[in-house]
Amino acid sequence: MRPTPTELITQVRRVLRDVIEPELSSGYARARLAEVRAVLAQVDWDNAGLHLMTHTTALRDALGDLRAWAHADEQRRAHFGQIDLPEPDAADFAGWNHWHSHYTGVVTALIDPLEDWLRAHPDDADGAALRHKLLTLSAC
Amino acid sequence: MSRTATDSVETVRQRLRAFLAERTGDAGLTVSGLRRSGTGSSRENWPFDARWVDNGTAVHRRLLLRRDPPSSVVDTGRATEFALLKALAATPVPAPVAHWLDDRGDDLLRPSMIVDRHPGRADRAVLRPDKNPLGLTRAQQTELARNLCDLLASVHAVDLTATGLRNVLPTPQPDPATAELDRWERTLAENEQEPQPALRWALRWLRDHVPPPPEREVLVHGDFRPANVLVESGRVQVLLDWELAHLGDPLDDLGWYCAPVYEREHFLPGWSREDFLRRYTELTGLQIDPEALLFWQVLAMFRLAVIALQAVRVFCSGTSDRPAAPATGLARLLVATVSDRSGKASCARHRPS
Repeated sequence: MRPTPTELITQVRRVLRDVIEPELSSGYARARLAEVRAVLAQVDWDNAGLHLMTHTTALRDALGDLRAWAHADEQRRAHFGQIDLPEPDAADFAGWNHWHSHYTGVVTALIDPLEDWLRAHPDDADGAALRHKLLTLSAC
Repeated sequence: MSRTATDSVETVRQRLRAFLAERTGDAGLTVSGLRRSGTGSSRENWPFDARWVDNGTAVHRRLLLRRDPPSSVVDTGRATEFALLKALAATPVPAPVAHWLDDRGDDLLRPSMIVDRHPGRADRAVLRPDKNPLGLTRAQQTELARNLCDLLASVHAVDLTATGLRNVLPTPQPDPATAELDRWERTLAENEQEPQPALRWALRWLRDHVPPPPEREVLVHGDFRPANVLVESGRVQVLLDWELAHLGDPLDDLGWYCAPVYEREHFLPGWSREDFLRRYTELTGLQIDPEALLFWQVLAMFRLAVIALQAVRVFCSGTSDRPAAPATGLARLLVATVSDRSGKASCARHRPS
């Protein structure tokens, strides 16, 4: 099999540590190199695109659930208004990145209406569950 | 290419020598050992030695040039910080001794300040038994942790009127918590390259849980933690990095110090968060409201997440040499805290992964 991006980055990190770092006399350069190595290790290079697509789809699905819940009741429909959720039509990282930004924008716009609704209806278990799902997805 | 790379050590040395020669009145002043250190997250640190003659007396000073980076992660006027350090010189708070200021960077290429270089080492892991970078005994680590609490109490005991600090730092309006929220919401908006629902949700939670104003406003350091304290032989020497200092609520610093993200760095077996808060109350008489403390803990994590966002933005724009990746762990911590809608959650329940 061909080497994965992570396997390549792992070896780049090794060269930075074993070959480059010993040659550096500047404390500033050594500190920046340590940060470079840390960031290279922090990113999931193999799955960055897959994660973006999966997360975008999950956001879209959760927002669809919230829209269905909001529009199933006249009072909620009036409170939340129209929620537009176009289907993503992405074919590459940039495309999914665009849609990810779009859906996170929709989530952000719904925070205040949802919080206000749940404050006025503290026993709304379905609304609370949707809030929990969106909030959890927001931290990914 | 960032300006960092274009300002060579020699260029900075020449500018620095001319700057100091003019201010000391000695055209023969020398600058030696100038280098850019690896420390300093929001300012560049350039240690050096200067020698000059003052009224016939040879002077040798160990100094530190603190320069704004091309893109500053925090935004505090250099002149304000300089005036603050001058005011603190008359207090028991061990702050850096500030000598000269180039507020606009006319002489030193960027806004800069020159302060005494003090002995000691600042290390964020100094209290961690597993890392122990200064080689302290467990008893020394516990004593140092207690002394840090004493140090914070001394900062909060500074007389704002007698020192003139009320003329240096603005009074928070309409109250300390709202003023800080407003400030960091603005910073979030400036750095939000794509919508950040986790941070916006945390912001909503914070707006819903603003605590009442403190009985007494104090000098808030704004970044109080071991990483900003010079330690020599196990003893506190100097409290560094005052660029986030402001007037406000003492719980501001306490929430920052007790934020769950710092749990492993600030507390150790035999010195818990509760021990820290108990001693602080003994020293200051301030009774700590757990709900208000939770607000400031959440705000601390919110600030850290915004700073991380800003660090990613300036690095990706090529104006910072400090690599940074998105801080999703912080966002998860924030979400775990605010997901309890009752607002009764305790930050102590949520530990960093």
